[in-house]
Amino acid sequence: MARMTFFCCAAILFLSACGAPQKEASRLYAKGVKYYYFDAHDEAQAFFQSAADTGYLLPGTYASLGVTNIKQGCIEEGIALLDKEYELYHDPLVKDYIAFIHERFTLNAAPIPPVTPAEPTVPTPPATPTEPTTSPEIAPATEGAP
Amino acid sequence: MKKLLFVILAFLLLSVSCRSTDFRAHHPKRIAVLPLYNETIDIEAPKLVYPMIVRALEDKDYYIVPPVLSLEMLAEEKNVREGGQMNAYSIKELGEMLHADALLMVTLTDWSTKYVVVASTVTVAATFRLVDVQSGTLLWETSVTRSKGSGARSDSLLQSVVNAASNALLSQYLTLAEEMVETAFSRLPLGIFVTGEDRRSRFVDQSAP
Repeated sequence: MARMTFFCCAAILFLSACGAPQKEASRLYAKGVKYYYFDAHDEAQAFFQSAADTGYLLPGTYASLGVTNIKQGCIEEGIALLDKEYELYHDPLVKDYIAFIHERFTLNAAPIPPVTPAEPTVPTPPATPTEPTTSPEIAPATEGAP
Repeated sequence: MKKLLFVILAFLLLSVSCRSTDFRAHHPKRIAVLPLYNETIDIEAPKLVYPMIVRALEDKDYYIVPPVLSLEMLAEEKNVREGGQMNAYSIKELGEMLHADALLMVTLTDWSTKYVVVASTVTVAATFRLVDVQSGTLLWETSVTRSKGSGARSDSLLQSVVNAASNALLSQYLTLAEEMVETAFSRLPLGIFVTGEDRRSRFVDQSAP
């Protein structure tokens, strides 16, 4: 009877130990989602990273890490993580989001002005310190400007 | 009397089996959790409950459309940040945008503390609905209420007041919300994936290039 109880306890402990990484990963992942939802992207990123480090990769972990990277301005790293997520799970939403990010950062990027050949300029004489001069090029400060 | 009881019982059994037949017929593989519809006055409550739902669903072996991506896409493409803003869109429209088989819609119906003299009762309640994207069929539904009182029996009035105040703390809400979510999902059938396999191989769509 005692031997039976011992084996049962051992089996229960073994099974619970097997499920532990999954539980821990989902706990950390959910915490990451919570912080993301509260716009605390630093903390969210840390939790998603911890979830990935447990060794039990839940679908969405790399995608979430990617999004938090993008939120912090690391666009290329973010897209690389999203690509990694897509390679693993082939989630069509991840693909859509990658396309969305590409489109967004291409459209929102400031247009680079065309390069024009430099015109010869007439050198201006240095201003004399005795005469107070007013520069018309400097616009007067407007109200409400920082 | 016995006949009536039998008829009621038969009707209940039939309705339960019909519901589970619906679930089996449309067994969802990919579930998207939509932002919670909030009927309470606490604006932060849905943000606290949402991750609990994600975790509970994750533990039931379903593939959850990455919640961070769902929230991002809903906000960017549809300008939806709260459950109440989703009324403008159909289930099919939202589901197809998120590439989900089913949408989980949760309505937070209570998140409050009621005071009676020097005792307090914290109540947390929600309704959970899982709807098939293509047919619009309700696959699963449950409502759960959890409440806890501070207890009226105390030696002194001051002790009662302290108990009532500590009962209304956020941690109490969180504990009750965890219980509520756990109870709700204990009634949901398991996902179609066998527990114990490597998730990486489980969720990969083999037909994809």
